[in-house]
Amino acid sequence: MSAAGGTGAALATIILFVFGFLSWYSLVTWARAADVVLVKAKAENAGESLSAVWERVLPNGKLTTYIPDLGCVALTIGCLLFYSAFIGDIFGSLVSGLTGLPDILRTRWFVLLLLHAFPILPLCLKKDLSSLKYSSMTGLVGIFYTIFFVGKRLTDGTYAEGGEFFDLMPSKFQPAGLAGFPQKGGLLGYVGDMPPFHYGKGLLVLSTMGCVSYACHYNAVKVGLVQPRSCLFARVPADIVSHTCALLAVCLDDCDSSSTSWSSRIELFQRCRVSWLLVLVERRWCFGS
Amino acid sequence: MAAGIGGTALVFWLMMILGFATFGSHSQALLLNNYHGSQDIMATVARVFTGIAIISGYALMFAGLKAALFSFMKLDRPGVEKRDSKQNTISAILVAAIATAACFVTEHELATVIGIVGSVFGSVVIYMFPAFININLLRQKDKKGNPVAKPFFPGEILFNKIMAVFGVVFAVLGTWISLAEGGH
Repeated sequence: MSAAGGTGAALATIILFVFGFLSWYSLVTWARAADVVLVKAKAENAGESLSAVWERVLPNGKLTTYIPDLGCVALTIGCLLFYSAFIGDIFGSLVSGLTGLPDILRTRWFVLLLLHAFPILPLCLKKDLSSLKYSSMTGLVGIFYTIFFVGKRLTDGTYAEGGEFFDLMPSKFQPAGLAGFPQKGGLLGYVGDMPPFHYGKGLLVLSTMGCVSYACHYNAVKVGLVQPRSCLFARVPADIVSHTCALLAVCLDDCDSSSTSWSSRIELFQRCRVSWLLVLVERRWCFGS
Repeated sequence: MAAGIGGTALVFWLMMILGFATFGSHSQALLLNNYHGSQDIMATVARVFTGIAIISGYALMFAGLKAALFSFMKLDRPGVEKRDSKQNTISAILVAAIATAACFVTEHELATVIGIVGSVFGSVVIYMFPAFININLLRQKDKKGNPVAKPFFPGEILFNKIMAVFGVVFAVLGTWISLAEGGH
């Protein structure tokens, strides 16, 4: 939110709502199209990809199915490559601190390859998305714990000036107010320092991040095909809320223009993934299984 | 259904408020970087859980890759000989290739390239493709002359035309910003 001059909380919220609505709308419309041309039309031998819908809707769609296929392939491979690098970085740094292990077991590449052999490969070989619900639930537990942890550190003041960890951190990671805005303090800390509708060049960064922060549409048809209509439309308001808060979370965390590139993008994709994890929960509720 | 997505909204909102309230302008894009790497045990546990969450989501994204790739390769048809075996082999090769490539690069080195890929293909998949689909779907009629799909709201076709342009604009904008950031 404070990248390149900053963006006020209210304006950031509006941007979130706009992109959240657009992303939700495109998701739902993929599902609508799949419902019409695959389910109702009882299409035979139809896959669950975006191109399965594409070829049945667009004129001469059969001739151009490679377009949505390659678009999704490019997008997902790029994201997965980053995910893999991130997994190597985070677990490599965790393992490197474990004394007693042979040096080779503490290398980044070894940890990365080991984790991809298990559990990533078995999970990736699963055919049905619903079979991922257990791993998805584990991920959700981790996210809830992280929320609890962040809240605890805010309330216990261990990272505030004079706290236990304040002096242990480099200055660039220590809490700091926004330049040009007086610190008002209060329950929400730095959140209320910036005028709610303030904007600058950071608005552009925020918008481009928001544009693709909900990139989970590569599974739109697959999930849309298994959701009954009542469930699909019932979650409309919740979708908007969730996607809104997803990007708002990124916006308000994003305070360094030099770090808006890669780490912020993984945050964006993480939040998209959480939305999909909750979609799996929704499926369970809708089907009662 | 609403409860599931509503829970997501609550999670994201709390992360946003609590993280920014704690660190202000020095909040890192990856918030866990603000917390000590070894002295703060709770932060270490959070990093482990974050890694687990990414692993759990990896398969979800890989499912999207499989759907698109197998559709492109025509391996998703029921009559394909040894279809499951071929799909599993290709999936294993893909995971191995991606993992091997990731051994040679870090997340920071991938920043500019992935930023461009995400901006271009993200905008295309999220905004432009659905717009093309909707415009054509809403114009289609069945044999009786009735629309095959009802619009969600009046003027939806025009809305989708605007959304297609919107996708182009932000594909260009995102690429420009990725290149600008990569130059620093």
